Amino acid sequence: MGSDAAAFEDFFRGQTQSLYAHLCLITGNRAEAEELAQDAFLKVWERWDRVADMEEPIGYLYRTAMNLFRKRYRRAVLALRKTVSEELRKDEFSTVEDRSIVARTLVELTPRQRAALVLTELIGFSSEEAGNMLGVSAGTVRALASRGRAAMKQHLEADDV
Amino acid sequence: MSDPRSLLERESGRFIQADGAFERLVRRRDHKRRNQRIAAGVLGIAVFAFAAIGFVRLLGAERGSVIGPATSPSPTASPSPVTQPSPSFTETFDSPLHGLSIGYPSGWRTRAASEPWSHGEVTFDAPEVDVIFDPTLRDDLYLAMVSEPLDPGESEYEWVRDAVLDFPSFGICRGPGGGGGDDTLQGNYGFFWACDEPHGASGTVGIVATATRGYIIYLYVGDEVPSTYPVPDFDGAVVFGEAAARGETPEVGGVGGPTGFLETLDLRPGDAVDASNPSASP
Repeated sequence: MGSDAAAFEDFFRGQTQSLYAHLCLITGNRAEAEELAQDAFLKVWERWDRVADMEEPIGYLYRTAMNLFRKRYRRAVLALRKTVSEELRKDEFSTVEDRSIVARTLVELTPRQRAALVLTELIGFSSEEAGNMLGVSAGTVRALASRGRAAMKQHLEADDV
Repeated sequence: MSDPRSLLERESGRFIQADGAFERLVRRRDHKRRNQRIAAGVLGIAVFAFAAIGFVRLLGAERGSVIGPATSPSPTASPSPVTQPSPSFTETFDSPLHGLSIGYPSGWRTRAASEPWSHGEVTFDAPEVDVIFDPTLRDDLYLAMVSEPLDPGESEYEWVRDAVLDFPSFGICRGPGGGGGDDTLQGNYGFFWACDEPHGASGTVGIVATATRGYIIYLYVGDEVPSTYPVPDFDGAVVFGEAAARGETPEVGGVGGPTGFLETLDLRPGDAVDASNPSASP
């Protein structure tokens, strides 16, 4: 029992920073990312006896986090409709001091596009895995990520000028 | 240097989590456990109290048994000598989003949900809700249905329990009274509750979970509905798990065919629009 708790704590300490940072990129909001990361870890902890034996506990953690993200995002969209995206656009990325290319790109993407880009491009999940996490098909993930990459390329080219 | 991956990596390095994350997680877990204990205690007391009241009423009134797990009277089955019989369930509604099929009375209308459910209110006007309604009484007499996939690793019991605790945010069972309990419906775990709503209205709700999906089926009967109005029965002649185990046969009130919504309910989690690929489950 004690070793289970220690194993979970090790897992938490090994993953929490990267999950938090990835969720910051996806949500564009530090507080939201912190909430999602904590909720996801809590769910994993509650099922740690099963999760610990999985081949890919990190994959499970990200699936859980993405499920929570989807639920929150849908709720926010329904509650605020158009205003939510406006709020997101004004969030963390727009206050980054030097306004990096990535920040400028992410500002222009929807949370779903950000999620597809981060999951596939940065973390390295396959389109199928990311699709399962986001509740969409692999083709949709590819399309969403492709838009993100295209936007990023556009900014890079503009910067070169 | 400037490929998307390295740019994203560099950007993610800007976001540093505050110290003490594990301690915050421990506090969050303790807080959640405490809330669950309180809620479960309140729920247990309420179930016991209403079951006891129902039992006493049952003994006193010597009335026929109400089908279902609830020992308190269903609002759709309130005794009235002039109430017309429950209408026949001759029509079928196939939900395009929520993965279910259900029967309904001839003449009633349907309005399918246009968006997946996101834990919003399960009410007449919500776009996430499948609604079957009486065309005359509209938002005074309707059946509302929603569903969502279970989280990875979430059990049927956990989903149902959390849904019951979320009643206030779903806008259902907001009144002070109610009765019912947990049981199984078609082998699926569920919680079935008849309750008061504000202003003299009443509701009956079934919260059922399959291995992959949770459902809420809610019948609202507003205060404008005349007492003699033929309100369809919620459960009808459905045989719940406990009753079936006792070998009970329901008393059928109608003439042939189903007599209640739940009797006609067909849960099809695989047909839901957001049904996840089974291979996604860890």
